[in-house]
Amino acid sequence: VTPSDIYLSYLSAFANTDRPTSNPLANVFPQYADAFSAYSSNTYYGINSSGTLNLSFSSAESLGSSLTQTNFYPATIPLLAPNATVEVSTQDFSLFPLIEVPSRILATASTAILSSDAQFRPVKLNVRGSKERRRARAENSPQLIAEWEGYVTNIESQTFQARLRGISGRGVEGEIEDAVIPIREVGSRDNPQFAVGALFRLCVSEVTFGDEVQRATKLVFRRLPAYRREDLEAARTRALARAHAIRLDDRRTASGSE
Amino acid sequence: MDSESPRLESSNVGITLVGRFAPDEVLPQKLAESGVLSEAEARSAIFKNLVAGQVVEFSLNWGSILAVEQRLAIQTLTVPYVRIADVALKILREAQKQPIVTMFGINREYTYRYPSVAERDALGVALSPPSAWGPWGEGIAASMPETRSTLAKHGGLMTVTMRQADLDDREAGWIDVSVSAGPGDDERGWGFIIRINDHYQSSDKYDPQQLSMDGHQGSRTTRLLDALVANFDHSILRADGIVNGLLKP
Repeated sequence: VTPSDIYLSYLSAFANTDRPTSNPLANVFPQYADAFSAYSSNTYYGINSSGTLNLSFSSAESLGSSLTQTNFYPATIPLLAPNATVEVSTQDFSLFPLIEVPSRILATASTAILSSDAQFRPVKLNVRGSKERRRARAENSPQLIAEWEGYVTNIESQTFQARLRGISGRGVEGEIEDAVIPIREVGSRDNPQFAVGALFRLCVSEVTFGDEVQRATKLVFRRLPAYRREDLEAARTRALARAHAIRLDDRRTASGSE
Repeated sequence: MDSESPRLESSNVGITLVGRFAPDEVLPQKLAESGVLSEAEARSAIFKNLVAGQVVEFSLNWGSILAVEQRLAIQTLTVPYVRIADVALKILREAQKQPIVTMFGINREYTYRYPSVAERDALGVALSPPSAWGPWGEGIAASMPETRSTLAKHGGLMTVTMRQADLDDREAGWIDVSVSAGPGDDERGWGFIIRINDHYQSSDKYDPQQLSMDGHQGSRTTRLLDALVANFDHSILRADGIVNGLLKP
């Protein structure tokens, strides 16, 4: 593996310790130290504060001599037991078609309490040829086709219903419509927010690979600020004060006009 | 202008807020505690910079957050872009104890490529004709075809900025649109970058005499955050419209 024939794909492990003073990957994989210094800079630093292990798949793509894009595919797993093997989902690679991702990636910890010398198997990803890669890289910037703001109106076993308002997109902007959406579209990170009334954004994007156009949807629930208790209390106090200040004054004349 | 549309290579959206912030309150775990991020997001954060009390910078799978005492910047490459507005709002209204915001910008950046340098030159000439620069500019225009594929010797427009300043949706501010030449070669195409800075600012002289119990109702900070909520989607659409108008007259 050399920096020129592969972007980079390694597992990095960070224990619940102080922040590394140097790039820990260079220590874990000394044979690739040059590659790390050339491509990864300090972006691998991860600090765990909750006794969990961070795994970061990173691919830094070099075009010419300059680093043009770095992609991270983080995953978090509980602290490993000795010799445990962890399977990390590779679904996040789906939008990175330049890399032929193995069906699964395995990481094995050698000790129960991870330290900076924890041993992980580096994973090599097969990358297509240079010209093909550059061409695909150039063509695959996702283009947002349409976006809706929606809120959940009803939840059933496999689907949920929502009222959508078009934010952008031809024939979509400003339009109101009802939709039935598969629950599988809700990401696991959004599960706690998934409830009737919850606000979300639904985006449809297109990615072009040569003559082929792939369309993808993305549904993300919004995390909006809640009203603070003191703000509500202050509003209630102001409303009461104004209500008490209202005085009805009957000044109608004998003819009935005011 | 050239008849062929350039290819969009990448784009990103960012919000930069200027004022006074507490960087330590933007640590991923703190943001998870206040509900700005999910626990999983906080655990997956990858630090780029961390100096206690001064700098917190980390990336997430959808973008990055940088907090220093005078600046809070959130950036994303992925839709829905409104996520960064929600995060900014939630940080300032729930995670920060006494933030002060004096101005903010909604920033869009697009990287495009033309297949040839001649097409990029056509855009540059349309935006700023070399002939407008006198005999010096005419000399540059005359040399452009001869050196068309030699980046080091290829002159022409490097950066130009246009400002719209008379905007009625903010107390003060502007929209700056700049077009800059980017790197290029015949294989990858000839790049240029369009940056749009949609800038909002307020003065505390418009603050009401009496603020609410939390000291924010009606304040400059609140007015600016309200402006962020009210204008974010429109700003994104307007930026796309500006770029479309610029590239497809």
